[in-house]
Amino acid sequence: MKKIPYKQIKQALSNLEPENETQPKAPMSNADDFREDFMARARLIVQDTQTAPHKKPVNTWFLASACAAAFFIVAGVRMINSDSTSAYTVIKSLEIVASHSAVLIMEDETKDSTVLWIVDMNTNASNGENI
Amino acid sequence: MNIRICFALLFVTLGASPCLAGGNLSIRMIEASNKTTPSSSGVQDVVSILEKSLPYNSFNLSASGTMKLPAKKSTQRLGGYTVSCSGKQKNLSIKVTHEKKTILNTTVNLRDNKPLILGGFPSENGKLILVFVVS
Repeated sequence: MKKIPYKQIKQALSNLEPENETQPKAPMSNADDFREDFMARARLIVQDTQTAPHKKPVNTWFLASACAAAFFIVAGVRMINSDSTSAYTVIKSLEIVASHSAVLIMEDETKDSTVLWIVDMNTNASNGENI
Repeated sequence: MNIRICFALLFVTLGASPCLAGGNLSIRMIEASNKTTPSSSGVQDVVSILEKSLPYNSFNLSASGTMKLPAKKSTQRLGGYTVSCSGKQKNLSIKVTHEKKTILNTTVNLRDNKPLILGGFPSENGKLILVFVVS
């Protein structure tokens, strides 16, 4: 093996261009050059630092939807249960056990009140009537 | 924070629903007569209805009571009559008895602040009237 004097080596090294890590070498000759170039480029990219975990917006939306659904269900049930056809008190059934001659049911528009009047009621005698 | 607000809204929504169905039921016993005395102060909210609908000119409060709705066989003694109520406001069963005899049974759907007037019960001076109001 031929020995190269130190002087020649020093001169050859001084003639070399300073290698810049940020600048990839070109042209690429083989796989090792490609890998070296790739790693150099990768080092240029600023990696994200680990931060606090993101809040999951899906939970907020889920709960907001649940609230809205609960509200509409309650409102719907209340609408179904209410007899929206009448503003008056409604007499659903009536059984008069005491004897009487007539039954009058009146509705007063001024106060939306319902009047049930039993005519000639006798509380001592029984005479059942179902309405 | 948002999650806490949502939970609060959820509980308020669900918690408020049973409260909306309840109320206080006031029951008044009014004596209707043709006396010359003016109507008493406890019947002013219904006296105009009574004067228009019934052939009496004097209405006086005889007795009154209240009960919570929904009622669970709640009983009020008004004069010589006993009024028993059970059920919710929209499906309230009312039973009126006198001297342990059942006078009438009825089931009603009461509206808030809309009086239900049951009348015609015999009295010495005229007739007795029951007024039911949910507030």
